Amino acid sequence: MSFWRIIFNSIRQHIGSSILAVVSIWLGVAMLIAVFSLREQTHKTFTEIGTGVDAVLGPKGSPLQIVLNAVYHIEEMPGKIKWSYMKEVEKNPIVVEAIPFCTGHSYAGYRVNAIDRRFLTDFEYLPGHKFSFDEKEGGKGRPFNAAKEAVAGWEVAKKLHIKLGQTFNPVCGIKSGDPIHMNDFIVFVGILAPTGTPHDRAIYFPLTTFYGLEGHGAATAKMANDEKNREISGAYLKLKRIRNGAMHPGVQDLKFNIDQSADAQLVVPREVLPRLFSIIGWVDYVFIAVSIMVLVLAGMFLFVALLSALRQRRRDMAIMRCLGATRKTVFGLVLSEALIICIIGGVLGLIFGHILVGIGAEQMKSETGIQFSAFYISSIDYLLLPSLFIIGMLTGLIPAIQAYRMGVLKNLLPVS
Amino acid sequence: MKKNIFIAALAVVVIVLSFLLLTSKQDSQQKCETEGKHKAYHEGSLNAITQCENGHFEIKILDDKLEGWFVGGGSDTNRSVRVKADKIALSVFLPDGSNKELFLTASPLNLAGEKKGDCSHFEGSADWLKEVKTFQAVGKIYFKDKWQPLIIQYPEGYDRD
Repeated sequence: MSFWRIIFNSIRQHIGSSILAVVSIWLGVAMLIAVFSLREQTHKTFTEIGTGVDAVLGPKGSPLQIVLNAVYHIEEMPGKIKWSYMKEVEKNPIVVEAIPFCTGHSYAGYRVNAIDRRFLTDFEYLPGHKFSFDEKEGGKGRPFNAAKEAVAGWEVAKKLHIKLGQTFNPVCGIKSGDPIHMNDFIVFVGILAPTGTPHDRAIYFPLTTFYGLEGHGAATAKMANDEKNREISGAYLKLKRIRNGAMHPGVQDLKFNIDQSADAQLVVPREVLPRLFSIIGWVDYVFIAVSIMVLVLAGMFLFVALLSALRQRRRDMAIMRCLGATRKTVFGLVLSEALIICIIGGVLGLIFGHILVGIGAEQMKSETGIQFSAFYISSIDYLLLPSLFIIGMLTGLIPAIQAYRMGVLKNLLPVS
Repeated sequence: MKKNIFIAALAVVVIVLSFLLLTSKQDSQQKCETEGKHKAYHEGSLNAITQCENGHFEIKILDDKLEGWFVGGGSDTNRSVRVKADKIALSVFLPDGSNKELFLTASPLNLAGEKKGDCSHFEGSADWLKEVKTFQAVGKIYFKDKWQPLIIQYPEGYDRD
């Protein structure tokens, strides 16, 4: 009987405990894979999207709230800033471009942002990537040119089955029950090609149209033509870059100057987002700790299962020794059994973990617009097999040593 | 048997702890970087005005130009404090024993809504600033509604405490 056949038979003899050990390792590994993959992808995606917007000029308030509203289309803007102030900031030599926007409207649960047309033509949602309406890339139509025209992000268009030429009435607010601009019919003239960013989850229409929407009051309506009194929610700033694409060092001075003003602040998403991770980071550690505990329990379970299996098979081992098997062979048999169980559990966990990421990715995409990949290889993927090898060795080592030391004559004696 | 289980459990606990330590190392490094209290926002040298809690004058020298910002005390070094002055006269003591005069003039931060006579940012230039590596300077400033001594130690910064 071959070495592997003996191991297979041994596993079959205590199939129940072997399956339980495999399942425990599988679950622990799957959880670790899913947590690490989602954690690293979230970090990477949030940081990259943040770099698409060099800085956001916004009102006083929580910088995190401003980034979440301006870049991720969630939360609410804490206030408004003056158009004239944005124009002053735009004059700064390190500011390449300022794209003003007004948030606070919605349609069917998706944000409707009033924005400068340059957002659709010049803005880079990721370095080197501009919005596209190309049908080959999944887009349709064109940017808005007239007051009552709008463009839908790819995700919105898909979820709401938006077709070009279709009209909608924006909701004045973002909560259910907020009033609808019943007499303002805005027509969709374009659908953006997918970007895999939260910009896919919003609708965009011209900034000046925003002020004139029915029900906004005379003072707001006047802002459409009165730049002196015009207010905006904020502006995306594109800043000068230096060698290697690094941000111009003058941004710190610019930020200091703006932050000292009474009504505005400059928020650099790349600086703010790590704070978000420090706030929610503990959740990751809880998941990681639970996953490790499951793995530890699986290891201990496997250890006990191997020991009890060895106790049951003492006589078999002694017979094997009589038939010519060396001490090293029985040592190898027990150790290999532990390793095989660990590796089977690990491989199944690896596959299941990535399936979990795939399921989570769909959910995350519908909630935040951020695209995650089930095939992302995180740092834990590389560490997994060596770690399982070590766990297998540790759990199998003591039973293997016992098998190695087992006396042949003693165990051949009748049990009764 | 019990001894064996104990050894195995101990080994597993050691692995888990080392894993948790490795993963938390990066976060603790980030935390330390942000916890520093007296941070010079412009990466210049911070000079306490009488006491650290009272306020600071942050200075930075580039070529022949000295730039200075009046900022808050304690951890408020990222907040400007406006002073009612157009000019600040400084007596500078150089390491070779010589004395110089340096006048800083108000350079309002327009985006902060500052004006001459009510601003936090001052600038001055002199040829000898190009060569100087270290110096001490004294002056007087009407800061937070009272006249206070302004002491500068460059580049290490002045801190009476």
